[in-house]
Amino acid sequence: MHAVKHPWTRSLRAACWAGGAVLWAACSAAADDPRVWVDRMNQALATRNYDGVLVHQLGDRQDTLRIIHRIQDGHLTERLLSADGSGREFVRSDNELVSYFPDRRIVVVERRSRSLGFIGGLPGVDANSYSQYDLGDAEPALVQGRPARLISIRPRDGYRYGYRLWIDEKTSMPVQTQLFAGDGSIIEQNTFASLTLPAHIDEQLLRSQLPTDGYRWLRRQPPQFKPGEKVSWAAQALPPGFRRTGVGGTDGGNKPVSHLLFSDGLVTVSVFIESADTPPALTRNGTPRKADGPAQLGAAAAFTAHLDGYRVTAVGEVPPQTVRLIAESLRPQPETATASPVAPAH
Amino acid sequence: MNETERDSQLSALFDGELAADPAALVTRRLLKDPALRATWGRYALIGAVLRQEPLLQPAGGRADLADRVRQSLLAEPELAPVAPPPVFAQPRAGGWRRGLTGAALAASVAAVALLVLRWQMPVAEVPLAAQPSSPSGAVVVANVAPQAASGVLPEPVVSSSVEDVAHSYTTPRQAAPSGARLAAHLVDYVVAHSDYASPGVRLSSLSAQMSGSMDPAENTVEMTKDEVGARR
Repeated sequence: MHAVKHPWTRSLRAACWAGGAVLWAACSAAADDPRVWVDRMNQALATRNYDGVLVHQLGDRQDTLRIIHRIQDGHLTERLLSADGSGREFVRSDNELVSYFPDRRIVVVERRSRSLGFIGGLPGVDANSYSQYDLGDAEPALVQGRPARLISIRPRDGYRYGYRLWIDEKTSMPVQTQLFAGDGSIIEQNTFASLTLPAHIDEQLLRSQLPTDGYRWLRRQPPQFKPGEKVSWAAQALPPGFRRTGVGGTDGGNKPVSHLLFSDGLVTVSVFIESADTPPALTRNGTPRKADGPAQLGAAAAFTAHLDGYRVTAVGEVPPQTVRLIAESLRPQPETATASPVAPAH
Repeated sequence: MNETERDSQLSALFDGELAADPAALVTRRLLKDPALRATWGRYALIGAVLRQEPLLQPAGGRADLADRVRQSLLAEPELAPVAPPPVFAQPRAGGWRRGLTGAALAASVAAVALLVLRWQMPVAEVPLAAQPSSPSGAVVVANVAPQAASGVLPEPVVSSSVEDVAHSYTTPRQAAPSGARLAAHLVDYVVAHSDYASPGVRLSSLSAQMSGSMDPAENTVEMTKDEVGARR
């Protein structure tokens, strides 16, 4: 029998074409949307097993580590082995971190407040990010011969750093990441020299094989904080885009320290406040020792200010001026607590 | 006494934690042993850096740096009784040996300052044994990325000025008494913050421990035999 072309068949076909075009456009937009790729990467990091060699660079320093990471039944286990000949190892099981220093014959055990792997995702990249960062399209790139997408998240001002992520197209793993300053200089870089994603990782691979006989086992006292005193704190003038997002997990201790969190959506700055009743020690010629001011640990900047008998320290992976501004903008508020930044009452 | 014990005694002496008798013994050794004195000098320097005493002037060269370190060290009351002058002596006509010591100190001071300021460390090798590659999803197996291997990253954010000098995380065990307190606080803070740190940079604190610029034994207590036994 002969097929007869009905008018509606033609219009259906046309509709299909139109629908397809819309679908195709949507797909290709999603393929270039940096947020989609960052979500995929976060997902991969949170769910996949991996075993790779990571080159970590921080300024002039470079460390090469093998990193074995397993997520099984919702539990994180991670083992990092240094390749520098020192034999150092770091084993993380959920909230516990055990660090082996065979060169010093010590093992340090510590509890952390959250269960996180050493390679973190980048949560918080959303529509709001565009006001503080310039997010380009996910550009096609090649990393060690494999198709990847380069996501560039550039800061719009000098109060924050930028990120570059090379995300493997097939696995969504971040095969290379950079943290960079506004002037383009690279502060920190992680590169996977090799990486596999095994479906199963043997328990044996996640345990240190070091003979620890005769080692000293040390327990690091966790920061023994309990929520600070009644005084509430408000920030007078935060850097653009930063707002107070909550308090850190600092319970269980007996040392009253307030741990406040400020974030621009991507980066988080911690502020620690404790009363500092002892005056700074004096040097021989009677001048107080400079015990506060700026400090730097790797990519993290810190700034300590003294105010009304309190020591206020801001710490975060932001430029030094940002932690300084935040630390110096905090003021104690009498009585009633206010979570949001408030101008001082006159 | 092995090297570790010696170091820990020296550290205890530096912290003023050693009883009178062992203190006298260590002090005598200190006066005799140049290596021990060098260690002491490093502790003192690190203490000075911790307290942010100005080590660098914007236009200063290395000699200037060493001189400033020397002055700041001599100004330390806790160093005065034992700080051996020859180590810090300036080169002088007729005293070539002292000159050498001074130059060596200047060099080592510069080296330590570099370490503190820039985290300068040797580039690690990649001697990992080949692993049986996984059938599911082998991703990347290649050489280290070229820029990683050549180590040509620009200056980090630190070290551009005196203001930026790290004044913490460089302490061997505990630094000078007054500096140590702040350092311990900051270590606590950084540990507490690291759980909220930006992705990727969580490795920073690890890197600091590996480089020895953050003492892994800071703020720790010895575990009991039972605790250790339960872990094995």
